[in-house]
Amino acid sequence: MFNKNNGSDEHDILQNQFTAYVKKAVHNRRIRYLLEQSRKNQWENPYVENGYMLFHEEDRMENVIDFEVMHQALRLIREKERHIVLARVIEEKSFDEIADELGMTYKAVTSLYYRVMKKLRTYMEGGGDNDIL
Amino acid sequence: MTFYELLTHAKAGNRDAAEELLIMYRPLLLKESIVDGMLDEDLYQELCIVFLRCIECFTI
Repeated sequence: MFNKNNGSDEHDILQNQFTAYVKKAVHNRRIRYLLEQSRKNQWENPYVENGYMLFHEEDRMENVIDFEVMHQALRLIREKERHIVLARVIEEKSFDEIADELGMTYKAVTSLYYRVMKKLRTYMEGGGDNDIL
Repeated sequence: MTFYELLTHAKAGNRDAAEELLIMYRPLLLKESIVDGMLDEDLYQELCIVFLRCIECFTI
């Protein structure tokens, strides 16, 4: 019979340790893969405006890391959530416009927006270590 | 078979045990393989390799 892993006996503890180990390794590999991928894209599309240029020299490295984490976070959220965030922040549209575009109510858009912002914030505070969902 | 046995067999090079572990952890690998809301098969493959290496490297 299937026994729930509650971390009480030594096999459960071993399994939990192994799971944590795998999780960390897989997560790190994923980040490396995404970085490699974005670097590759940069070489392939050299004329695409480089986001790094926007930063000042002195705090550049820190910003680059934040930038990568944010990039990563934006990739992890759902299509619709990303649309709302980008429309609101980059295109500076009002919630009414976004609601019309997506066929949602004003209330649904605002609540989704604030929920996503909260998610992004917790993700970024953890430096990419917190789970986004 | 307990998890401990499964892991030691897999570490000793038993392919069936390693496969069973891989199936056990597949949902995690699939979740981490999603990029832009879509499954990236290359990434999934990379993560499977990482997982197999984890079995080898993990010290009990």
